[in-house]
Amino acid sequence: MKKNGLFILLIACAAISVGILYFASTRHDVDIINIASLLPFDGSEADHGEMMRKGQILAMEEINAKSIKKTDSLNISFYNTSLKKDIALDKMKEANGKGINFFVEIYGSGQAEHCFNYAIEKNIFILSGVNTKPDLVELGNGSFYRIMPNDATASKIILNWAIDLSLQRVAVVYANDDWGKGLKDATVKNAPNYGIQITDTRDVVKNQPSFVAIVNQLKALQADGVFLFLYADDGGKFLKEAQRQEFKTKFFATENFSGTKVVENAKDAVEGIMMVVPASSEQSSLYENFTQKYTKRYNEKPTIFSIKGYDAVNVLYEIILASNSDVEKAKSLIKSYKGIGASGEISFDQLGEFIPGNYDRMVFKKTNNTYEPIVINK
Amino acid sequence: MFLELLKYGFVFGILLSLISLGFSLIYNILKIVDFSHTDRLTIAGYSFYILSFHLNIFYSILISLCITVIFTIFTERFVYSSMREKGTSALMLTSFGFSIVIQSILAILFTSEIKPTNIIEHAISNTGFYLRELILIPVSLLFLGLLTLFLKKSKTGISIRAIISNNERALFYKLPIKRYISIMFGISGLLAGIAGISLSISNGIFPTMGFKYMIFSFAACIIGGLRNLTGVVIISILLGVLIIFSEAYISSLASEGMALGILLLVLILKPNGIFGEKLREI
Repeated sequence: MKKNGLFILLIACAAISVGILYFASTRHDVDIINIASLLPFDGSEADHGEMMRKGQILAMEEINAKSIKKTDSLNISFYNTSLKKDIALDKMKEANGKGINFFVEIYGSGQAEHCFNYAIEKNIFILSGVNTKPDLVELGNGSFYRIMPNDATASKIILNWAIDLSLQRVAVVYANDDWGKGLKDATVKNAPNYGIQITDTRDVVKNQPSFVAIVNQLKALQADGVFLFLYADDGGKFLKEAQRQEFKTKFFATENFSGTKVVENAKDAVEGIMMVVPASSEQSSLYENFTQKYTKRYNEKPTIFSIKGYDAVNVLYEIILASNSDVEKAKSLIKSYKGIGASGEISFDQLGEFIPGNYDRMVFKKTNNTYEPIVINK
Repeated sequence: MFLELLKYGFVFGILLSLISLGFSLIYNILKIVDFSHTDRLTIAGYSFYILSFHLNIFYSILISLCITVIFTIFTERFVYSSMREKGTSALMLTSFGFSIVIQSILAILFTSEIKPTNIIEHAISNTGFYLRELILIPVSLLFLGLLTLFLKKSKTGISIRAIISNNERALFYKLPIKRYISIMFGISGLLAGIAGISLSISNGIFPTMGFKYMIFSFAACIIGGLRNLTGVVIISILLGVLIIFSEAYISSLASEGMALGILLLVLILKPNGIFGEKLREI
């Protein structure tokens, strides 16, 4: 009898301890603002994922340094999607299972789109810094917002530059995925309005073994310019092959050529390549402050991916605070949001689409024994 | 443009023939499709990538080739040999599993990102070729010639051919089969190593870099006739040219489909391959 009593007492003590521990751990969760970021940390886009994470971490640290109440602190849970749609959805479910309803990134338009049904069903709020597929906000049906101009805008900016250089016949080489096809389609659609003829479009598979044939055919077309809607690895290899075949024309690229990968792959063949990137407000103190902190912390210059990652966290944090973590409220608040980030002005139209600002025109030039994109004008 | 495509297709075909030959040699001696064969390209690529940061290009190539050959022989000795008695299905599954293990280890150690080597190449003017390719063509052809001579004229080569044609008879004559199998694996590793180093310079390295070449070389072996090494070389070169042409005139997506399409067609019309002998019991 005495033994039984002792046993029951032990069980009760254990149950109470577990209860206290559970309560303490869940209290800790609700004390701070938890958001999730789904990025690729391996595969061909790993460097962009890492750049975004660095920018997001910097934003989180700044927020936490400033927050007076513990309830205003921010925690970002990072998940590796390997740039795969199914993994992205699994990670979203995993984060949502831990009570996270706000996502600061799902890297990749196709990956984000794959998560939309679940996000709509579970009333999840996603703010992306980089996804550019034109109809993504519409497809997100209130669950998806972004602070990056869509591909339709990017295509117009590239076409504008081509017109300024009096180009008339242009070929497009694009990555055979949602992003590449989206940008190619937008360019083919917009080109006639600019008086530009698209002479050929060529798709490229991921890790294309050889660019010999594509470069050879494009060279034969004698196009005035080539738009490269490729990722950095393949873009670099394409440029190397173009240099080998002495294919001399004007090459244009997008923000995917930011970072060091394209230079590592193309080496000196990257010289003179033109790139359009959403402008960062270089004159603003916010940009300068961010660049200084980022360079000091990571010993490298920030790219558009780190800047957008940084801004996305700040915007989402403001929205969460203003809406008191209420997703429905956040959805209506973001449409009237107006702010300035390191990347410039951030505002949205009534449909929730980002209102694009300026773009930077950049050209790769040799500086300090390496090649870097230099802003030539806005 | 046609001639240029032909020229680049030929180079690609030569590279493919190095891989296909290794594939074919292993098939002939073990009667299995060795799925991990193209991972030896990857091993050579990674070895070269690491060494090229510390040594000059000549030593980097030499040591990478040695590493690949030793790795290939070790694979046979410590992974395949214990499974040989369990039959070809078990061996093939082992090679498939081993391939995945290699790729996983490389991904854990080096990530799955593409890593370009630090070699800067410029095409030699008026040729359109890199120096690497200009060296690769005669070196490959020399290797192929030496291999044929070795198999036909040397005592070891004749013994290896005896094992290839009839394993049981070779056992009866007490030929050192294990040693000859190791020699064949070593040769196939060397050929894969040459191709792997060349590919790492042109395309960079990543854990699954050999996969596409497995499809192409597998197709070349079957179409050429697995037992006929000359046939495998000829078909590899033709396939290389066809792949480049299909990418130029159809789509980048067409190359693998085309290689496998021809393979299916050959399997239906000529099951032993274009240059293959009719298999018969000896």
